[in-house]
Amino acid sequence: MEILLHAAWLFALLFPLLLAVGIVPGASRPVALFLAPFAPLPALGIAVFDPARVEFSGLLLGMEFGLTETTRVFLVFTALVWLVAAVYARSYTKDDENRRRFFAFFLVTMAGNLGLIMIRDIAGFYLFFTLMSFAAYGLITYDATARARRAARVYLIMVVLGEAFLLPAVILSASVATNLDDLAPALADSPLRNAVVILALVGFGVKAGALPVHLWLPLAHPAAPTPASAVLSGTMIKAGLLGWVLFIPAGEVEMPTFGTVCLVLGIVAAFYGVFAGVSQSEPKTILAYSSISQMGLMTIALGAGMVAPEAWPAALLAITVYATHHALAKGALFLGVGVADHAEGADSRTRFVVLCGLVLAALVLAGVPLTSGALAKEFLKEAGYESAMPWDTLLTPIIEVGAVGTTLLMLRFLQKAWPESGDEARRMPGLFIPWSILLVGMFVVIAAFPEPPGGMLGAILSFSALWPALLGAAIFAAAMWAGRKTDRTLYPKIPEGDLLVPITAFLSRSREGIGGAFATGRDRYGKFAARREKNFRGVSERLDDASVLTELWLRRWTVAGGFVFTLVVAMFALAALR
Amino acid sequence: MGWSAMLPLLVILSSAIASFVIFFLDDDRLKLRQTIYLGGQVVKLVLVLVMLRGIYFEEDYELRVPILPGIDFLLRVNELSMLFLVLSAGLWLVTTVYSIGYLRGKPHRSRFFGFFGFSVSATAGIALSGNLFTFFIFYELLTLATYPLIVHRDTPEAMRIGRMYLVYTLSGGVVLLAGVVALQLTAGAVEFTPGGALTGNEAIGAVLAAIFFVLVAGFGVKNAFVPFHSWLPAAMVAPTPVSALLHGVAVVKAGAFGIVRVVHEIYGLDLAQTLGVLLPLTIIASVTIVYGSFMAMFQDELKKRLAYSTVSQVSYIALGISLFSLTGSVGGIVHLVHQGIMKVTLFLCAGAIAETLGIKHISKMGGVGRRMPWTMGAFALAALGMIGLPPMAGFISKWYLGLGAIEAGQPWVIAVLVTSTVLNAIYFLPILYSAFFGKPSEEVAEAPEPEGRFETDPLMLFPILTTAAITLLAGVFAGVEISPLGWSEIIAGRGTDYEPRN
Repeated sequence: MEILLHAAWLFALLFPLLLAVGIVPGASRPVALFLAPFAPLPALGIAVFDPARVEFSGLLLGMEFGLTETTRVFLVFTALVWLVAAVYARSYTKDDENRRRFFAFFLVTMAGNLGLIMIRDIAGFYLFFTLMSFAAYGLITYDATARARRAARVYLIMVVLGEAFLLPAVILSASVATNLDDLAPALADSPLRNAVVILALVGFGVKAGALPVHLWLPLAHPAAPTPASAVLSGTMIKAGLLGWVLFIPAGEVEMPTFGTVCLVLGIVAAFYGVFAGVSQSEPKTILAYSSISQMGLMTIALGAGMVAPEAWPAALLAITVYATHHALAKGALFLGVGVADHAEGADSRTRFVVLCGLVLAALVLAGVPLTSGALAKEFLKEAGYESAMPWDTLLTPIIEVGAVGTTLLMLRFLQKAWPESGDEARRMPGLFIPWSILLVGMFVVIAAFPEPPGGMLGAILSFSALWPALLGAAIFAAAMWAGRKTDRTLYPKIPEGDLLVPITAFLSRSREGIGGAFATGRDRYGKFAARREKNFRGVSERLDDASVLTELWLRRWTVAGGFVFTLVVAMFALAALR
Repeated sequence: MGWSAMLPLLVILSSAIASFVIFFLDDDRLKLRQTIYLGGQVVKLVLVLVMLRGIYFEEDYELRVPILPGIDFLLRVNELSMLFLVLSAGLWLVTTVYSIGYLRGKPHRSRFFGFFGFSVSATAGIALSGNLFTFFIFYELLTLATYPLIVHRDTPEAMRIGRMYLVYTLSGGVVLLAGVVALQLTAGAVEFTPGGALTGNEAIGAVLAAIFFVLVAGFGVKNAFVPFHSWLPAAMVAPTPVSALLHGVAVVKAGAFGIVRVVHEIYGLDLAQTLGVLLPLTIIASVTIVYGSFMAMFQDELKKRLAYSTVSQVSYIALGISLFSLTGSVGGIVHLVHQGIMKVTLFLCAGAIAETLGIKHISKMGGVGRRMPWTMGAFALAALGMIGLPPMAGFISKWYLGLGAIEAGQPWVIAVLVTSTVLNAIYFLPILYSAFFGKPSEEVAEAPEPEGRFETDPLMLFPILTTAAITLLAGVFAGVEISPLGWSEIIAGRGTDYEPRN
């Protein structure tokens, strides 16, 4: 039995990796490609059956696998979204000659994402997190367009930057505990605590799309192929969140300063994501900014737990529920973009069905009554009530106003993603089915959620979920109406990647900027090296001449004899002295 | 003289005799030469493995020949010797197979293989030496045996760099000799002893500390500490298999290995800490790590970039050794092996690319990954390992170094590691990017299609794949008892109450 248990864990982890390797040689490629969509199934099985923990002392630095209540939930939604995205990707990449490259990176990224949830030791967590981060580069750059390349380059720079914070964070953590379970209590009493918290906030913040290290996200999420965008925004962004939950000892100790920073950054992100997203014209970019905004809400929950340890259980619950809700809804929205693309020009009935699906997913994300969004927001508010002054009263209105923003953003999204009628209809076999599974899944998941303190019905039917959506819709309608009257748009135009544009402009415009300094530095160094090489050559030639001359001098027998004689005398003298 | 005394000598002689015979063979006696040579290697590898098993079961192998009163020629095997010996015997085999492919049809092969084998004999001697005197002999033999390899191409440029190499290494040797003599005069016959041979009562602390630095300076030349590193990037004129051997196991490593011996088996960590000589060593190593990585960024020639990377990476060993923490020592010792296999992989790949496509510069490497996927795949594994990403071998080293730094109360060392990681990423990732995702360069576009089934000479490809696989396996299975990590933990833990972390 013991062996079976070990094998089950290992299989869940290795299955995607083996398939990724199997894609490379031509002989096993058809089989591997056929099985690829089912790669997350073993991990899903692990999540469902929750087997006992296992240890592999021989692997890496001693790997441990296991699930906690929180990670089990993360594993369920992560494996589910990956599964749906993989099935979707099979049809999406059907006619693509680079399909095997896509699936190779897709499967490795998947293994990293699933592994980091199942692992319990710190080194292993770092392994899977890094595996996921670097493999995702291949997904983002996949389209090989200039846009995708730029997005991928920015992504990679941010990943390396994140690594610079993550590596010390994990090493410092590993010096107090080897296991993620013991980490929080051990860190709470450790002098290294503040260092780890800062490093983890930034390092995992890159992945979680937290302000101000979100720069890569609005570029990368839209640039990737649609199924990859779905997992990037749906599940991988949650890996950063999970990193925060695991490495920050919230609930063990009060961290008023860091907690306040998280709360403020979360609130800013929640609104900034809406503000910047509304000005975008591409549906996937709008969704990416929406992810930044939604992650801001989860950052608020984290901050609420950090300022008040007694609020942590509620905050953790809110994070878990909200992450699940957002993963499924955002996955459905991204996959919906691809479906809507393919529905462009189809008959009106198809377009109507697709549109209904999109609206449904948008409503869920906006959190209207009867959806998982309404429920998730309820948990978020619950975490707010438990938190310290003044957040216990502030957070509820902030969350509700945030919902107004989300509604606006979703309406903007629907406006842009709307499938138009046209002459040429593209067929979309294989895309619709996985998408509809995810759409249904968004509602099925409500049954699995715990009951909020106010009661399930009270939560999903509450008026507080309804009015923000109505207000948002009203504002949107008013804006549309006002926009029809004037040609000028009053709304500022924000480029994709917002701050990145001024940053890169600054760097490239000023020759004195880093790029220029680097180039001149290289030039100067080149000259310096050439000069040094010349000098060195001169010295070595002189040395060479000198050594030849010395040798000639030494060869004279009087000189050599004199040396030998002196040495012999000296040795005798030494011997006599001893 | 029993079997157990002869075994260390046989290990050294097996490669030396095979090499010696080769000198008398004409260049075109291909079959005979390869038979003798590979035969010598197999014999050596078998002997090494027999000895490894013996050491694991705590047998003793010792050969002592008195030369002068108080000075013995001493070969004695312990766990640390075996680590270095297995590395050198294994990588010798790999690089030899590679060299057969690499040098196919080129002149002076007998000379090349002869000195190649001598270098490895000298390295084995260094591994097996039981005291500094014996160590010194083999250390100098190594210098002399590698010189003909560096000037192998016979160009004026090669000859000039060969002289420079001699000036550097022989000067280092003289300094080392001074240190050895000084130690003999103050402490008498000192043999390598796990946990340290000196008690600290031999002389006043300042004298012992001074001798320590003289010894480290002597080893520091081959170890390529800044500012004694210039010979290493210049030595790139040598054929690629030589560079691989030089960087991976022979010359540079001999310096690093010497430092490990001095710190761990002559002074001992405790005495070294009392004398206050560890911190300066940490600082030298840290400066070298950052400086080497920094310089590597500016190199366009692939081999030069790899050479500067070696300058940086080899100092990880000294860094780990210099931390007053057994965890740090484990990190340093295990990096002896890890850096060796990773760097050999990188050099072998660079050589295969240069031979197959004629590309030596990074700026021309666009699209190489599509033309030579296996080679570049191996390169990628090793490069990611150099950056220190899990699950590659380099990650294991860095992890232990980082933990060791915290244990030793020197958390600033982590900043050095992080800086090096980022710099490594900056100079390795663009290579991978242009090779796999970049636009094919003219050279790649014009390169002839591969002739056989493989993208390059199979005798070059298989050694590359082997070392790349080891790079991965040494990391993935680091927790196994007989992994390089497990072995390093045994080495560091001898004579202490050190408990392996896992």
